[in-house]
Amino acid sequence: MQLISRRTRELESLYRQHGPALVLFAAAITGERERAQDAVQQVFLKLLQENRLEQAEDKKAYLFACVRNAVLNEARSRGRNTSLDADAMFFEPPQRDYAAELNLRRALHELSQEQREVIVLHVWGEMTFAQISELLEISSNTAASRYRYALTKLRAAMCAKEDSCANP
Amino acid sequence: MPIPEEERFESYLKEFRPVAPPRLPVEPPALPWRHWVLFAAPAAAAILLLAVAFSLHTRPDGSAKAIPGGQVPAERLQVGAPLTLGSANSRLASGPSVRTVLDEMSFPSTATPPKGKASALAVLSKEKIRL
Repeated sequence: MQLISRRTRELESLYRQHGPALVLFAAAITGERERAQDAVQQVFLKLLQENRLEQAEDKKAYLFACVRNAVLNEARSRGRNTSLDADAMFFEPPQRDYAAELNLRRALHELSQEQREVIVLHVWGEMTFAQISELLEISSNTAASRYRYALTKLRAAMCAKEDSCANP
Repeated sequence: MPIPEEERFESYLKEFRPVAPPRLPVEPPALPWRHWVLFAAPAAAAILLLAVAFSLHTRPDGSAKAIPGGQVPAERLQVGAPLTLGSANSRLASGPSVRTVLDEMSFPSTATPPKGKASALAVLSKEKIRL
C-alpha cells in the first residue's frame, strides 16, 4: 500500500511538472486540446496501473514518448487529419495578449507535423536535440535543422502579422 | 552556434506558457495506519477526559469517599431513599445477619419518616374506616 501511494505521488508530481508541455505536444500533433488532454491523462492513468516508468532512465523523455505513441495510435484509428481547434487556447500569453496567442497557434498549425513536434519539444518541452532525436528516431542533425526551419517559419508568420515580436 | 536573433525569438516564444491541464483524476492514497494512530490517540484521550470530567461533575457535593465496588456507606441510607444494589450491599455488609437485614429492608418498622412527612401506615391508622 505504501509503495502504491509513493508511485501515485511521484506520477502526480511528474504530471504537474510536465503536464502542460505534454498536452501542448499532444495538441501539436492532434490540433485539438481536448483530445490532447484526454490522451495525456490516459497515459498517466495507465502508468499508475503499470510499473514501467520506474525502469525508464529519462522519465521526462519516456513520458513524451508515451504521449506521442498514444496520440498517433489514436489518430490512426480515427483516420482524421489534424485541424486547428480555434476555440481552445494552447498558451497563457504574456500580458494577456490573446491575439498573439491565436497568432502563435495558427503559425504552429502551418508547420509540418515533424517541425511542430521538434519545436514544441525543444522550446516548451526543454529537451535537447539528442533527446529529441532519440524520441523521434531521427538524427540530431535532422532534429536541429527541422528546428531551425520551424523557428524561421514561425517568426515569419508571427512577425508578419504583428508590428514587432522578439525585437526589443 | 545559435544565432542571436533565434535566441531572442526563442525567448519570446517561451513567454507563452502552455496551459496547465486539469488535475489527474486519481483518488488520494489511503493514509498509512500510523497516521490513523496519530489522529485516533488524541481523540480517544479527549473523549476519556470528557467522560472523567462529566462523571466528576455529576457527583453530589460533599460526598463521602467512594467505597470500592460502588457501595454506599450505611450511615448515608435514609428512610424513603430508593433501595439500590449499592445500598442493599452496604446493609448486608454491616447488618447483624442476612435474615435481619432482609426483614429490615422489606418491613422498615423502626424507620422514622423525614420531617413534615408521615408514613402511610401512620396516616391510615388514624382514619376510622367502616367496612
